[in-house]
Formats: sequence, structure tokens, C-alpha cells
Amino acid sequence: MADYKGVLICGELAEDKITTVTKELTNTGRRLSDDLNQPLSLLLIGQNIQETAAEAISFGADRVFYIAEGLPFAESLPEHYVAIIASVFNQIKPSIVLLSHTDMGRDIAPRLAASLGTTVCMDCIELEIDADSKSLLQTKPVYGGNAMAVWVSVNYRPHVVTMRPRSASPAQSDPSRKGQIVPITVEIDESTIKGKLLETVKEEAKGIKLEEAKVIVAGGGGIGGSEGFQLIQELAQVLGGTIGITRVPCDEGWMPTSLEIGQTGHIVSPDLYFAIGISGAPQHLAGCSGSKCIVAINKDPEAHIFKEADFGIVGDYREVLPILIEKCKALRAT
Amino acid sequence: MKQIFDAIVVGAGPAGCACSFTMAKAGLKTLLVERGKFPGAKNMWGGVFYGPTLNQLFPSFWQEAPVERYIKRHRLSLLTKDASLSAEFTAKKFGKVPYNGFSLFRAKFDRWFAAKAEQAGAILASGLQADDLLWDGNRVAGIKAGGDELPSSAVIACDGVNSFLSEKAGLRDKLSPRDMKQGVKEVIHLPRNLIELRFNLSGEEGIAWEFIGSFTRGIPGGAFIYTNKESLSIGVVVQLSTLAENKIEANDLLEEFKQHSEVATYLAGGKLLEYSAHLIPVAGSAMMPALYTDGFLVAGDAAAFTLTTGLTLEGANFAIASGLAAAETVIRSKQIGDFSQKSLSYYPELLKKSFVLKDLKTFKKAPHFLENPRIYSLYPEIACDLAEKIFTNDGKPRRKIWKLLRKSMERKISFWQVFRDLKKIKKAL
Amino acid sequence: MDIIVCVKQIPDPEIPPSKFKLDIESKKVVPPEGIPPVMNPYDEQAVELALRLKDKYGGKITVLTLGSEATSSIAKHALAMGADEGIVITNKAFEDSDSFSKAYILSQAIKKVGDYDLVLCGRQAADWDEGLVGSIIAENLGLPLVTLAEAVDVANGKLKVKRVILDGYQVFTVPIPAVVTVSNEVGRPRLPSGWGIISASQKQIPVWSVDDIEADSSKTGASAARRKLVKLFIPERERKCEIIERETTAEASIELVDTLIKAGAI
Ligand SMILES: Cc1cc2nc3c(=O)[nH]c(=O)nc-3n(C[C@H](O)[C@H](O)[C@H](O)COP(=O)(O)OP(=O)(O)OC[C@H]3O[C@@H](n4cnc5c(N)ncnc54)[C@H](O)[C@@H]3O)c2cc1C
Ligand SMILES: Cc1cc2nc3c(=O)[nH]c(=O)nc-3n(C[C@H](O)[C@H](O)[C@H](O)COP(=O)(O)OP(=O)(O)OC[C@H]3O[C@@H](n4cnc5c(N)ncnc54)[C@H](O)[C@@H]3O)c2cc1C
Ligand SMILES: Nc1ncnc2c1ncn2[C@@H]1O[C@H](COP(=O)(O)O)[C@@H](O)[C@H]1O
Repeated sequence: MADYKGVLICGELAEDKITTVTKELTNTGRRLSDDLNQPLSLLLIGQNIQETAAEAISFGADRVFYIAEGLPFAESLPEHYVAIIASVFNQIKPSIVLLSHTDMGRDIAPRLAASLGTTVCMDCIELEIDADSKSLLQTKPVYGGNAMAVWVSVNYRPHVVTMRPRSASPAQSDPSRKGQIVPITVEIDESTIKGKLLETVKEEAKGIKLEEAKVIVAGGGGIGGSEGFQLIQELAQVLGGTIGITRVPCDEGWMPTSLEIGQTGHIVSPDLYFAIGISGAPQHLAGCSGSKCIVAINKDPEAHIFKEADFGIVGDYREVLPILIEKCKALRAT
Repeated sequence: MKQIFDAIVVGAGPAGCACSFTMAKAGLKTLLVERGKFPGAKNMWGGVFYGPTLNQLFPSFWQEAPVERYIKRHRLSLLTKDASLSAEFTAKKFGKVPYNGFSLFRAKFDRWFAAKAEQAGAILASGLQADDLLWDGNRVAGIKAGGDELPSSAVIACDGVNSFLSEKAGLRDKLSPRDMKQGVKEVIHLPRNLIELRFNLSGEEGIAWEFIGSFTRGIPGGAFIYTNKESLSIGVVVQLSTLAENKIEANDLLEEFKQHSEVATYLAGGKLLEYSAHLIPVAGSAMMPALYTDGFLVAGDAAAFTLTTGLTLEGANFAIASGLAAAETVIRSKQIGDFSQKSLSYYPELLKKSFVLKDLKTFKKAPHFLENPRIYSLYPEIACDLAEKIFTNDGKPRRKIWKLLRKSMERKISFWQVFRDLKKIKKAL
Repeated sequence: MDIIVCVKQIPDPEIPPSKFKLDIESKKVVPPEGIPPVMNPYDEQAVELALRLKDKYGGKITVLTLGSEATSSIAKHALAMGADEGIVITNKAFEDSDSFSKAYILSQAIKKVGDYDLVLCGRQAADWDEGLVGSIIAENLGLPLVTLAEAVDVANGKLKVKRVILDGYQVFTVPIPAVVTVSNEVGRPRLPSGWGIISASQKQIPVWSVDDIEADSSKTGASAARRKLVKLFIPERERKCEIIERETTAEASIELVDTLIKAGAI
């Protein structure tokens, strides 16, 4: 086990740029590497990304691996990614492999762990090196967020871990940092890959992305139907924010599923989060509890959301919202 | 797969289980329908289960049924804000087979009982709610459930206090709050040895402890504590209409009761395991609905077969006995091939012969008498006050008890009124 | 098309947080009395997806659940929804097995069932929220895998799988047989019908032990677990809510805006 050293981050790119979640991983990875006194490596999979690779050094990586050639990137399957990560793993034998708990990480981490014959912990929100045993303490929400579990691996290396987006702040760039950039080519035995990716369809969200919004006005089951979301939309508009929803409006078909916030949807951390007609189920809070300020509007004084909010009004949203909208409009005018 | 049943029993409580067990054993094609995920899943219970009726069906049932403790002692306490007066009764025979009563959990007990019916050949369909009756002219011809029509020669409604089916069959109206009591209950975990120490019990012994007094704020009703193996069942049962009129939550009364100094010491250190609320029909035979129509019978709480004497609340044994009578009626109907109203009139005859209707007749006046608010506040107060005067030694010369009583009653109530209430007690109980 | 669906019984995930209790010492969840356990909701959606395929292409649906004999109630639930067969696999050390040993046991059971075109699992079990077992089964059986599926269809002798991603979807094709994990976007599972419940209640649910599926017991239970739970706890709440109360809701609403401005939130 002592043969395994260092931390490997499997980074994600969007339009050839390092994503925010990867910067979050880099921040965590740097801390763990420092605690272990071992190097931090970052793997980037993409085309024409020399510059991005160089930039990654500034975020804290000691070594950046990037794939230069040999991959049909657009149609790449999870199997390709697993093969690449496994081959980099075999070169450097890190003791910790970090991925983000995104669509990609969720899919790849279990396959990777199974193929490396090791163990894995999904959706962690905290990682820490135990001072005495030097083992990795992996904290993750369980039971929909009702509880937290802390795991350690027994005799299995590497630790494959996915981290929940927004559970750490992103690393800041420090251009003075030095590091090594290692282009690699990978040979993949295509005969072992049986599936095919036919298409990827992105349903571009209009306006502000939920992850980037400063203000989110979220409506839940209490809104009662798609008409009610007009008020939600209006409030979001005057506050310069965007709309979010809980599972209920998705299931009921009032709003598109792509707006869902929570354990299985978007994880957001705006400065201001309005929870309107939302009861406060842990699975929903999992997606918004990182918000700086949470305001709850609910007609049931016993609703759990009031235990998780900073400010609250007990009342019918149909009464409250028009006044909020009015008042905010007046404020904006002055 | 589709089939026609001889009988469909709706509700796997004590009434429905006893009924379907008996019919299935007699070879009738029986379907037992329960809306809970499993029998007992939704049922709450005080509860002392009085055993003799079940013992006839399954001799020594306590050896296999999931019972908690046999009730060796009964205690009654009158509570005022800061005093209490208690009386306790125990009999040797309560501690011996066939025992008199048991504490138990409905979730486990109903499951056990329903499994018995299944073993006898009944089909148990859990997670299925009867939504309506199926009619053939004026005759009930089955039920509608889960979007399907399920035909049968007879339907036995054992669907509890709010019996939706007897309403649908036109046998009764919706119950009014006056006809019901509200029960709220908590189960509180305590280690076994602590329970035995606090309540002075040993082995499988248990106690049933009833309370009346100021904590119900004059609302007819009372509270109870029953001991289970490793927990206490504690709850209040109060008149629903008065509760509503006074805008009081039964829950708050339970909290108040739990905080009474006499009660709190018994609960100290306990962990809340479960909370539940349920309605109980209480108007006794006065509110009893018509019991049958063509192809249709009602048993158990659905027929309001419960008995409240103020000191005890009994329903399960009535439920079982009426379930058995309904089963025998349907078995007979099957033999003669006639499920008409006329044939089913055998049912009340059987009930009249059993203790069910006899007991309910004996205590017919109890429900009215029990609405008398004096029982719940004034009399406990007078009794406690008197006890205090008797037991207090303040260095002054003692006075006769009679004089103390007069003093305790002063400006509260006249002897004449007490006399009238006593006469009513005699008649009602 | 013959389909195997793996279903797990879990404590009801939608109980109010106030009813959620832990026993810190034993690191276990205390099952809430009176609230029966349920089928993992994603697994119920997997059963629904299987039934849609059966409605379209015919075939047989077999439901596998690893647990105690008490878990047969969820197998019955799947039968009541329309599945054809249910099998319970019991393992004394079930609770202490990790995802790898659970997946190993299920893989062995799948081999024993034999003929199948598709194995469906839920995207994750809503108790420990891992999302591992389906993927490991695919690895164990050497089968292609698509995760987070919203829909599955058959085209040109292959499976066509629509996979949910945060801002859209992807479409994969994989050869048959394959493993697919199912996401909630499948939509509401059907309710069992009356006759469905009645016929399910009369069916026997065979119980397979670890021996029946020729599983190597050294690969199961606590001793085989690749990781250890060191702590289970309920997180402390960090927020204290200030409820804005005024004579009328309108006044409170106005006050809210002022409060938010004062707090620097807008
Ligand atoms: C495995 C699993 C995963 C899940 N993942 C997610 C997830 O990712 N995201 C998610 O959101 N949910 C998720 N859920 C669902 C979650 O458990 C809750 O069911 C859901 O979040 C409840 O949504 P809600 O609060 O909008 O609706 P409800 O619980 O129905 O609450 C509605 C609230 O509105 C209030 N209300 C009603 N009318 C009004 C009115 N006129 N004015 C003001 N208030 C009113 C009511 O008092 C109530 O509190 C998941 C569930 C499971 C089992
Ligand atoms: C707080 C409290 C304390 C009590 N204490 C005692 C006591 O100490 N001793 C005693 O003997 N009795 C006691 N009782 C009374 C006793 O619980 C009832 O009298 C008894 O349970 C009646 O049995 P039953 O079978 O008629 O009805 P229930 O036990 O109410 O059973 C009815 C069943 O029908 C099912 N059901 C209802 N509608 C449908 C439908 N449409 N489709 C399918 N299924 C349906 C329900 O889920 C339920 O399982 C107490 C009651 C309460 C509430
Ligand atoms: N004990 C089990 N029995 C049957 N299937 C299971 C079991 N545990 C997990 N699964 C399946 O694997 C999926 C993912 O579970 P998990 O990896 O535990 O989150 C579940 O949705 C089920 O389909």
C-alpha cells in the first residue's frame, strides 16, 4: 500500500476550459497532497488543450497529463475514459483518485474502481487525511441528506472518490506556480468497446445558468400548477435571478425537469435562494443548502424548510409574491 | 386469474382477520383486502387486549401470538394539577393462564392474525383499498379496488370506525364528532429492567393504568399508560366534539399529561419511538348502524361495537366476536345458497346470543353518563382534596372524614347533585 | 425480451426529517415504527421501464432482491405491478456487505437465472445513495453498461438507451445483453391493479441462499468489505430562521424586503 503515492484528479473540460467543479477538486486535491506531502497530478482529456494544461498548473497541480491524440473525442464513451484513467493510474500509482460527482464522474468512478479492483466512495462533501493513520476519511451524505457517513477504505488502494459539486470552493489561479506538463498518447483496444454514442443533445437553458446565478427563486409543490410559476418568474426577473424547482413540479409536468434542484438535479449556491411552496425535504436541500441566504415562504408554519432557512414568512405565496415583486420593482426604479 | 369469491372481507383488523379465518377454514373462497402495506401497518392501539374470545379460536394463543405482557394489575388514578389519588386492583387469576388481558402492538398482532387467515386458505391482498361497492341491482355483488371489479357473493365490511363501505351500502350516515373519541398515543422506549423497577413488575407481568382528571380540562375522556416489554404506551382519549368546540388539540392534552409530576417520573429518560392518532366510535348501541343488507354485513368498529365504561375501553374482543358471527352467517348462507337480506338476518340473532349485544345493552347508558364533565374535573378535585385533608398532619386536632368531605365540597357542588350523579352511575355501569 | 430487475428494500426515504433517527453507537438507522419500508423508488421506476418494454415486446420479467425473507414483500409489490417472477436472495451478512459483495451476490444470482436480454438496476439506492451495484454487476458479468437511463428501446437488434445528463440527454446503442441503471425521469411507476395484487399474493417467492447461487462466502459479509463505516451522524443545522411576523401578510412581505436589504442579501 505504501507504493501508492500522490493524488490524481480526473478533470473535466467545457469548451476546452477547466470547469469550476474541476477547480473545486484541485483545491481539495492540493490540500490532501500537502497533508500527505505527495504530488498532485491532474489529468485532462481533450483536443488542442496545451494552453489549458499550462493554466492548470496555476491552479495548483504539480503535474498535468493531457491526451494529445488517439481518441474520437466527440463520440468517446465512458469505457474510453476509464481506459485512459486506468493507464495514467498505472504510470503513476496515486493513492487517491478524485472525480467530480457529475454525470461523467457518477458513471466513470464505479467502473474505474471495479476495473482497478479497489473501492470507491461516491458523492463526498468532505475529505480529510487522518493525522494518525494517514488514511483518507471520506464523508458523504446518506439517507437523502438526513445523515452523514464517514468511511475509510480497508487495505484497498487507490481510494476512488467523487466529490459533490460546490462542496469546496474553487482553487484560485497563481501564475507563479511551476509544474510539469506531460502529453500522453493512449492506445485503446476498440474491440473491447461494445457500445456507441449516437448523439448528445444539450437543452440550452435560457438566460442565466442555475450554477452561476446570484439569485434563484425556486418553486415547489405548493405552487399548485404551471400558472403559479408566472409569479415565480416575475420575482426572479426583478431580482435579476433565475428559476429553480423541486421534484414535484417535474413529476407533475408543470415545469421542465432540467430545472430541478437537489440531490439528483442541479447543485447551486447562490447568494440568495427563495424557497417558495417548498416543504424542505433533505433531497431538495442537498441541492441548495450551500446558498448564502435562504428565504422560505410557506403557508404551513410547521414546514421543515423553516428549520433550514434564514428568513421566513408564513403565508400564501399568492399573497406574498405580488407584494415582493411590487416592492422590488419600486426599489429598482429608484 | 379472475375469479368469483364466496366472500370478500374488507379490513384486516381483528374483526376482518377473525371473520376471514373462520370462513376460509370452512372452505369458503375468501379474499381479505387490506389497504395498509401490511395488516396493522396503519393501526394504532391503546391497548389491553382481552383474550378469552381469541382463546376459543386459538387455545393458548399467547404462546405464539406477538403479545407483550399479560396485564396483572389495573390501576386508576384521579389527577388534579398537583395531587393524585390512586386505587389498584390485582387478582391472582390475572397472573395465570388463560390470563385476562395483554398489552400488544397492532402492527405485529394484526400481521400474525392475518397470517392465520392465510394459512386457513384465505387470500390476503395487502396494499389494496376497497374504493366502492359493486352492485347487482339492490344487491351488493362485490367491491371495486385498484381499478378492478372484484365480484363475490358476500362482502363483510370490517373497515373500522369510519366505515366507508357501510355508508356506501346506505346502512349509516357519516359519523358526527359527537359519536367519536379522539385517541392520541405515543410509544416510549425504556429499558426492560427500568420498566420492571418503576412499575414494580416482574417477568412478563404488566400493568394497565388509567387516569382521569384535570389534564383533560373538563373534556370527557382520560389517559392511559400500558407497559410493553421494552416500552410504554401512553395516550389520551377524549370526546371529539368537545375538543373541537374548545379548539383544543388532543396532542396538547397528551403533552400536559406527560408533564404531570406523577406521570413524568415514570417516563423519565424514555425515548419517543412512535406517535399516532386514531378515532374511536363511542356512542355504543345508540349509534349502531343497520348491520346487514343483501349480500353485505358489517362487523367490528365499523358496526360501532365498542364499549367505553370510562374505566376501560374495549373493542377488539367485540370485533373478533362480531367477525366470527358474521363468518358463521355467511357460511350458513353458502350452505343454503342464499345471501339475501333475509338469510343474513341470522347475523343479529347470533350477536344477541353472544356477549356482544348483551354487553352493549348492559352499558347502554354509559356513553351519556360519561359526557358528564363533573367526572373529569370536579370529582377528582374533591377526592384529592379530601385525601389531602385526611392525610395531612398539621398538628391540629383531627376532624371526622364526613366533615372533611363537606369542607372539600363546599361551594363546589351540592350533596343533592352528587346523589343524582351516583344514581346515574349505578344505572350506567 | 427477458428482463431481470434488481430491487432493494429501503426505509421510506420521504419520511419527515423529524422522524429520522439514528443509533449512533451501532451506526444504524432506527426504522420508524408504523412507517413500513418501501421499494427503492428508482427500482420501482426500473420495474416500470421493464413493464413498458414487456408491454411492447413481450417476454418475462424476473425481479431479484437481496435481503432478508421480509424483503419478499417488495418482490410481491413488483409482481403486483406486473412482473412475472420474484426471487429473494438471503445472506446473513447482508447488512454488513459492501456494494462489491452485494453486486457479486446479485451477479451470481443473475447467472443462475440464466436467460436474459437486459438487467435493470436503479441509479442508486436511496438509503446509502451510492449508485454502485449496477455498474459493478456489469463489470462482473462483462456486459455493456449505460447509466442514468430515462428510456430504453430496441432498434436493429440492439438496445437504444436515452441517458439523462444535467442539461440534456445522450443516446447510446449497446448490444444485447446489457446492464442499464434507471433514473427518475422514467416517470411515475404504475399502481398495482386489484387483480395484480390478488394474483401476486398467491405466488410463491423462492428464497435462494448464498449456497444456491454458488457464491464464495469469503467474498461476502463484513470481513470481505473493502471499506469501513467509522461514523454515522445527523448533521447540525447551521441556520436559525427569523420568521417575519406582522399584522398582515402584506406588511410582513414589505418587511421582508427591508430585512433582506439590511442583511445585504439584495
Ligand atoms: C431518492 C429521492 C431523490 C429525490 N431527489 C430530489 C431532488 O433532487 N430534488 C427535489 O426537489 N426533490 C427530490 N426528491 C423529492 C423530495 O423527497 C420531496 O418529495 C420534494 O422535494 C418535495 O417537493 P416540495 O417541497 O416542492 O413539495 P411538497 O413536499 O409537496 O411541499 C409543498 C409545500 O408547499 C406548501 N404550500 C402549499 N400551498 C402553498 C401556498 N399557497 N403558499 C405557500 N406555501 C404553500 C406546503 O405547506 C408544503 O410545505 C427526491 C426523493 C427521493 C425519494
Ligand atoms: C387509542 C385507542 C385505544 C384503544 N384501546 C383499546 C383497548 O385497550 N382494548 C380494546 O379492546 N380495544 C381498544 N381500542 C379499540 C380497538 O382498537 C378497536 O375496537 C378494534 O381495533 C376494532 O377492530 P376492527 O377490526 O373492527 O377495526 P380496525 O382495527 O380499525 O381495522 C380496520 C382495518 O380496515 C382497514 N381498512 C379501512 N378501510 C379500508 C378500505 N376501504 N379498504 C381496505 N382496507 C380498509 C384498515 O386499514 C384497518 O386495518 C382502542 C382504540 C384506540 C383508537
Ligand atoms: N440488496 C439489493 N437487492 C437487489 N438490488 C440491489 C440491492 N442493493 C442494490 N441493488 C440494486 O443496485 C442499485 C444501486 O444500488 P446502490 O449501489 O446500493 O446505490 C439499486 O437501485 C438496485 O437496483
